[in-house]
Amino acid sequence: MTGFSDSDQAMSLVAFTAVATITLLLCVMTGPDRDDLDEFYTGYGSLSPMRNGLAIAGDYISAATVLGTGGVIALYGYDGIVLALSTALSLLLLMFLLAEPLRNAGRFTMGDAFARRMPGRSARIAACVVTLAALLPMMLVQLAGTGQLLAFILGFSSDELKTGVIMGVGALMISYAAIGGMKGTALIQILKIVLLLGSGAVIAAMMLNRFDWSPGALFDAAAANSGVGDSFLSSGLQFQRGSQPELDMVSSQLAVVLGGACLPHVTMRMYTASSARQVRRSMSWAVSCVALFVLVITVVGFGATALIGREPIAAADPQGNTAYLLGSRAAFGTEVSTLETFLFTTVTAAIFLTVLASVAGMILACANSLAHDVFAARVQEMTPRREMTLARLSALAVGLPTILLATLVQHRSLQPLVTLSFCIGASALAPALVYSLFWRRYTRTGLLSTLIGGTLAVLVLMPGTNLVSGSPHSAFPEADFNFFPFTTTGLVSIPLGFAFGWLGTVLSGRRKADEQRRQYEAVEGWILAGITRRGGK
Amino acid sequence: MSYEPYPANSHPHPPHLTYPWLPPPPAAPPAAAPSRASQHPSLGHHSDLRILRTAYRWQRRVATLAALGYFVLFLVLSAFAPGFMAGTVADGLPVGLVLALAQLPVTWLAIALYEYTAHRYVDPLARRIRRQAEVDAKRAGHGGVTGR
Repeated sequence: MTGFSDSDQAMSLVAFTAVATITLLLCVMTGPDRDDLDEFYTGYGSLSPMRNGLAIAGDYISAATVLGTGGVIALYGYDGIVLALSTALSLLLLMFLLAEPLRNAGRFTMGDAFARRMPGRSARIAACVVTLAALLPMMLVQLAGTGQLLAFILGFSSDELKTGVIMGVGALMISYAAIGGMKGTALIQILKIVLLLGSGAVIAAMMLNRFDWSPGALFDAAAANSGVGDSFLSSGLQFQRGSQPELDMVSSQLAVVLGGACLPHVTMRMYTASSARQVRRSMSWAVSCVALFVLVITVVGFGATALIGREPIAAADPQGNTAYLLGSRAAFGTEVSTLETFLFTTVTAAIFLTVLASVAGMILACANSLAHDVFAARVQEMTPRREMTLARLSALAVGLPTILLATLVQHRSLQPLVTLSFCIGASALAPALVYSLFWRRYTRTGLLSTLIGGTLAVLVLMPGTNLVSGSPHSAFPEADFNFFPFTTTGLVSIPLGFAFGWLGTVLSGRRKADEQRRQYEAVEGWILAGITRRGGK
Repeated sequence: MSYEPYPANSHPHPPHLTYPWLPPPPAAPPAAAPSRASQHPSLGHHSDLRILRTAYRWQRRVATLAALGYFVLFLVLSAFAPGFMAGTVADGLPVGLVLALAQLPVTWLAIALYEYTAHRYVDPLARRIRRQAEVDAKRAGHGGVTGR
């Protein structure tokens, strides 16, 4: 059931090679000129809102989202839909609340956005550390998952080959980030989202066609075939292991809502727009794409369960990461025409491209932050040329350890790492961004305590959660050191993150806060109206 | 219509700004640095900025709270009122799924509404303040050197 036919595999291999070649070529062709920082970091704001929006959506829908959410929908039904909706809502909130002021305040990185009000190195370094802490786990997941995914599609099982795939794909991603900069990766993201949404929409249409275009029939068939009956169509399946499933579910979803869009590889695309209006238009496109994607993945995920059944999906991968592919394959039925084989190849190529592009975007976000916030801020005068070389070297410096770590974690459950990323986003980055863009009295101490305190709270609580130990599906099934019986740390760490920021500000005294308030008012026109930014843009 | 007071130009890119509230070099040519102190008060045009702040605040709050509120309500209902969510509406679909899938069209509606209000009420204010700041910068600095 799980194996694909030989012709599928041959076609997929050809498609992967083609994808890798074409995208690398694109990067080289559109890469920035030798010594232009603006072009490397932001692509000059030269993308139209639609293209920029597609790139944002591309960065936002990572491989972990496609495969992970698809799996949760196929395995747990209703809870999976809620997860997909949380993902879409997160980007919508980013659009409503943060996108425009963030674009006005920031220049290249999140450190810039914070340093707009609180100059000095400490804020930048903290921003960089949190950027790395939030994105590293996410990159590990994607890279480590790549080995498994390609093994699944191409039908090999040797561990050496999987490790080899991880290293090869990792090297490819580093070159995208280093050669292409923001503009090069933007093109790859656009290509990816078009391919992913296009092929997904066709598959979803075929799936619905098999159920006579009746969503009710699709849901009923999925429930009947899931082995759990009607509870597949209501909440509670995913979180039933914990002691307080309701609270666990609400806090997990809120962690995704608050954390998802605050991750630096998404926010960095805000700076590429050339005005607040542009960023708004871009975000409209991005949110629309993500909403469409939610629809596609819902249909394909439910279809996978309806046509294949829950057991085989769980057997292929305990987290259901292959459900999206299995569902796509099943949508064709047993007789497969040449056209359908071609279509399926497009789906696998889209997934492959998704993996490549997501990690490239994340490596770029980390490298930019490292080069711009930490190294370039140390030296008073650094030539753009040197800083760009530095950014490229940083891509290498971030990428290599990631590849190494990915080969080490590839046999563990990767779920806790995804959760870790989202929780750091929700507990450290979200409060820091909201406070520093809107709270006038917010001080440097407040900012640092939000960033550091929020991250530490997540890091301390995370090892005690259900995903890490204590159940057969956790990362360390053989051990049980569970002390925080929830799936995510959000329930405690998100309020803590906000509280730390408030406390740090209050404790730094009235004088500091008033000083800060004056400073905020000095840049308020900048943040709200976008007065004069970055050398005449 | 132009939203950008300063068209892109070939000015050298500023080095890393140690104090980011300093106007970036092209906006205030090197000689204008001493006039920084005099620029801050004029930058404000406080009543304008206050109107903009209020408009933004109103828009952001309503949009964010509406989106988040609906979702939290949906989550709480899913978690604590499974009986209600499992009831069926027409076509045999459970209420929960209908409420969930209804969020997608609502999302598109919300985007359209947000774009409309921003375009209608907030953009003109921001544009006015930017123009004003541009005039101030010209007056304070050396006339027309400011990036034109």
